[in-house]
Amino acid sequence: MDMKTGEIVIHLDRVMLDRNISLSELAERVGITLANLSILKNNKARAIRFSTLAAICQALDCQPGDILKYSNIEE
Amino acid sequence: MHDSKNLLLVRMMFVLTKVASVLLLLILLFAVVSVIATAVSPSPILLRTPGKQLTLRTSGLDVIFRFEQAKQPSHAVTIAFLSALPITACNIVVLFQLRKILSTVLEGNPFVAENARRLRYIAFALFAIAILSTLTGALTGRWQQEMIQLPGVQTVVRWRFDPGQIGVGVLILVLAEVFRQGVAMKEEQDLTI
Repeated sequence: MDMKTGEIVIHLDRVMLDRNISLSELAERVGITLANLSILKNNKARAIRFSTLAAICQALDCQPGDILKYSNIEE
Repeated sequence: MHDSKNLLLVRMMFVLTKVASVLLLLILLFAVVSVIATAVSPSPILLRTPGKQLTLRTSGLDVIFRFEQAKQPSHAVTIAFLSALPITACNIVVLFQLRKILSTVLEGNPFVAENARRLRYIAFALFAIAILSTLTGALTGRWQQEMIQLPGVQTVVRWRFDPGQIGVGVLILVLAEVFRQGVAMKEEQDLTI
């Protein structure tokens, strides 16, 4: 696993701003704790379950591509 | 399905914590008793007795020599006590670490990196006890040999080594490594949202 890859980053802010939804409200709708949602939002999470991703997409009425981005390593 | 599994786990944890709290008390009691016991009656021991006699006390048998020439050991208890001190110290380390592990079990969060480290300390303390008991046993034996100089009585210093204790230590060391990898898995799991 020496091969260097870029990383997946989560952009919740823009979509949340568009939908005009607060962090605690989103946590309630998705069904996860505010603490866990904060970990996710601040890119501290190591992985995300498909079920969580599906719940977020439903709550925000968006596609995974709208909140997940792949950022390449700087060259 | 998933919920019932979790419920079973919670119930098991609950029973475990109850057992742990009882164990905690027992261990504290055992710590006090073991410190007193190792200080008071290390075996075998030579006793100074009134009159011209020498008593060799083992765990199940007292051997009494009645001879005019019998040397009277004067510091038997002191030396036996001092030789038992390092082992007692190791025992206290084991009990103290075990107590800390149990308290994390009571808190409901035993899967922490500290517990793997504590298990490793316990294993090393057991290795130390195995070596120390061999050394102190032979040393007190050597010292007692000088005390028993009786016609017709032959004394031999015995080096007694208990490989079982090393085995238990190795087992706990393996468990510590299992625990360490378990903690790493739990951290990964905790950061999976």
